[in-house]
Order: sequence, then C-alpha cells, then structure tokens
Amino acid sequence: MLNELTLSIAATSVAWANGETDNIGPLLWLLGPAAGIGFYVLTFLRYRNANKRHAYERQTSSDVHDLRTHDAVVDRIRGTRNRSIRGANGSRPLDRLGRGTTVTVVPPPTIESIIEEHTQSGDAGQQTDPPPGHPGV
Amino acid sequence: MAERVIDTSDDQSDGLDRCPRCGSTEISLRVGTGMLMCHFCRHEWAEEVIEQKFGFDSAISDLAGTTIASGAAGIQESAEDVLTLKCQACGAEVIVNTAQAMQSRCHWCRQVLSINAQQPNGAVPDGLLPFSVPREDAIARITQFVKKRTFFAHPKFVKEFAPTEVVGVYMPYLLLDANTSVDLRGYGEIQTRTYTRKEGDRDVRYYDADVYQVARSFDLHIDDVVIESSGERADMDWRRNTNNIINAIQPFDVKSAVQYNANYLSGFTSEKRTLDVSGLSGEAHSRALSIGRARAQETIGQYGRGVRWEGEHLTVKGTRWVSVYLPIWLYSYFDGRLTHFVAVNGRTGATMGSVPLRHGKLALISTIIGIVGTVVGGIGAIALG
Repeated sequence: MLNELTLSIAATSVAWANGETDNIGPLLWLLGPAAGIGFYVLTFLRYRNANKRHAYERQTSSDVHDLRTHDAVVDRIRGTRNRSIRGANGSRPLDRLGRGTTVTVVPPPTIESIIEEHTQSGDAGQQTDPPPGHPGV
Repeated sequence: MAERVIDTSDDQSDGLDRCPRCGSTEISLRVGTGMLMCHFCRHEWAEEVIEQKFGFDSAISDLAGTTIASGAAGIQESAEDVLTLKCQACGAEVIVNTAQAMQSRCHWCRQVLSINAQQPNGAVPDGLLPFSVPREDAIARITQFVKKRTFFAHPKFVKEFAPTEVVGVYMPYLLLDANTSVDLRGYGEIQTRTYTRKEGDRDVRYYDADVYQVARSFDLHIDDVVIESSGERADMDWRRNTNNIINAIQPFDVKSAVQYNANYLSGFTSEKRTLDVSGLSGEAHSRALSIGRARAQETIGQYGRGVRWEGEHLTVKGTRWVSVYLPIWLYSYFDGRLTHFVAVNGRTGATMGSVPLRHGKLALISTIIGIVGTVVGGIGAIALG
C-alpha cells in the first residue's frame, strides 16, 4: 500500500512538473504531505523569521543615467516544454554570476591627467590664479 | 589606492563636554525630540546634520576615487580600548573602557567625562541617529510581537520573557555613496505561441519562443547603502545566529544623522566598528551590482519567459564612506544554542524578532495535519477514479 502511494505521488509529481495537469485525481494524494510540510515551514518562518532581511537592492535610493539597451532576436525555439528560460535570473538580483561577474575600480584622476585634460580642452595658455597652497610661478 | 579623507573630528577632545549655556556635564538625549538636554538648566540643543556640515550631500556623479570620512578610517589593531583621561575639573585620572562605554564619571568630583575624539579603534563614528522611539514604546512593540507567537514558542522562553530588559544599542554601520556604471549581458525569451498535444491519454503543453540577445548599460549613482561594520553582526547565517533580525528592521532615515557626541549615548550602549572600508569593498561591489540588477529588472518586463544574465560588470568610479551609529532597541534571549533577538528600529518603530520554537509540538501538529490531509486527499483521488 505504501509503495503504491509512493509510486502514485512520484508519478503525479513528474506529470505536474511536465505541465500535464488535466488529471488532478492523483494530485490529491499530495495534499496531505504538502499540507504537513507547508504548515511546519510557514510556522517556523513566522516564529524564527529566518528569511527576513532588508531588501536594500530595491529600497536604497539610486539614480540611473545614460541607459543604453540592446535587444536582438538571435534564435527561435519550437516546441519546448519549459515554461521559462533555462537559468532565469533576471528577477534574482542578489545572485552573482561566478566568472561572469567582474569589477573594475577606476583610479582617481592624477594631477597629470587633470592637466592633460585641461590642455586638450583648449584652455591652455589662459592665465588662471594658482590654487590655494600652490607655490605659484 | 590613495584615499581622500574628510576630517569630521571638528577638533573635538576627550574629557568634560559641557552644556553650552551653564557648563554642566549632566547631559543626555531627550528621546522623542532627538535633542540633547542639560539636566541642570534644561537647555536643549542638537548637533548639526553631518550631510550638510561636511558636504556629504554633494553630487554622487562627481565622486572620484575613494573618499573616507575620518570616523571611518582604518582601525589599528594596536589601538587600545581602555583610555585614561585626566579630569579637567579635579585632575584625577579616570579610566574609560571604550569597548563598553563612551563616558565615565569621575569618582572624585562626579563630573562626566566623554570620549569625543576619534580613535583608531573604531569606537567614535562620524555621526549617529539619536533614538526617537521611547523605551516604553519599544517594550510595548516587543511584547505585542512575542504575544502573537506563543503557541509554538519554547515554554522556557515564554516563562522567562521579560521585555523590560530591552536595551538601547547604537550599532555601527558604514554609509556608502557610489558613482558606478553597470554593464549586463545575457539572453531573454518572449513566448510566441503555446499549444497542447495529445500524447497517449494525456494533454502536454508546449511553447514556442523568440530568443533575444539582451544587453543593458547605464550609469548608476547609489545613495547611502547601509553596510554592517561590526564583523559579528555582518554574519547573517540563520543557522548560526539571528543577526538577520537586526538587518530586517531597516531602513533608517540616515540623511538625518547628526555629528557624533558621546552625550547621545548616555543611558544606552554601543557596539564598536570592527570592519574597515578596505575589508568591505567586496561587499560594497556586490551590493552595487545587486542594486544595478534590480534597476535593470525594470527594463526587461517584455521578456515574459524571463532573462538569463550571463555577464555583469561593475565599474567603480568613486565611493564615499561615512561611519554612523544607528539606534536599535534590542531584546535578546539565549536558548542554549542561539541568541534570539527581538529588535525595534529606534527611529521608525519597525519590529522584527526570532522566537525559539518548541520543535516537538510543531512536528507533532504538522504530522497530524499531514495524515488528515492524506486521508482527505486519498478519498478525493479514489472518488475521481
């Protein structure tokens, strides 16, 4: 009896995962285990609040400027049974991408680079007051 | 890399910190108004808001390199926690252990001596947010929170619950402003058709979709990310601790942070900063990328089947770091394995907590629900054939 129940639950789970939901009869066998596990998990979270945190990624003030976008069709999929893109992470901003994550820290401008930029902007030759603390010429 | 330091010490010194009107050192925070109050002449005043005073509100787009407010400067391991001050009133030598308190009373003349000068031990921040939620309010919020969670709570916790033991704690954080740009690349899919096919006696659903190459690039100016700067509190693994509770009561109105003055800490405790800017750069980059990805999510709504980012690049052009103390009412309970916190945001009153469970009782009732559900579901399944 237990084996039959286990096989029924397993078969039902596979069928549900594949989107075959027209026959809900076998699904009802999952009602009990799902309710028991669900009650345990929800009560645990209500008391321990182990899943609570500050959603800084959405609540921190930030401004986006100079947005550049690129969207180009590169392929067409026919007859997939997956409901969403494989490896979807567009709505999981906290997930880093392993080797796909890279960071560059730009060094602050040096006095030489500031002078060079100043020169290239065509201001060279104009007389300006030396900054405070500058020995002057 | 060279760092630019903004001096926020304002030449403050240790020792007697007197009321500007009468010269008394009997000063404390008047919770509710957020003002300092002299207990002798009742004069009230407040320190200046640091954003304006030290120019922390300048344009984030202008940030280049690393700018650090002096209260967030590097911690020297050799720096002592225990400082000896000479009382300017009577000349006695008074010891202040900055790991426990930032003020001490002279045992000879009863004057209060304050630690206001920035130390290389992380004890004095650039600014702080004074408590504005009164202690009685915090006790009521904690009591209400726990009362809603008593049925499955551990009976020892319920028996020993004493919300009047709540403590006002100033927790250390670093505020980060960041001038960055973010580049993302990946793939997105838009469904073009869905249909079912008969396979044996079952209907199986299929989907057609267009696959897009997706890229987003933008400049991202981030204002006041709040990062835990106590190494102990930064660890938020729920299996080892309940530090996530303290994190969950954010946000704080950090724009209102005022210049540090030890008198704000009178009657409260504080936890020292133990993490440096250099040690937090990895966390800062991760947070900036997370904010960037969250902002990018606003631009990919057309991809109904979702987006898979395969590359993300953060360019950090400039950062600005400021250290602050933020106010938290904290009730803690050690159950023999974990310290459970119930925390109240000392500015907004937001409350979160962890209540120790009686696992046996919860497992028993969950099992009963499982058995009843299985019987009911089984009858339904048999009835449907």
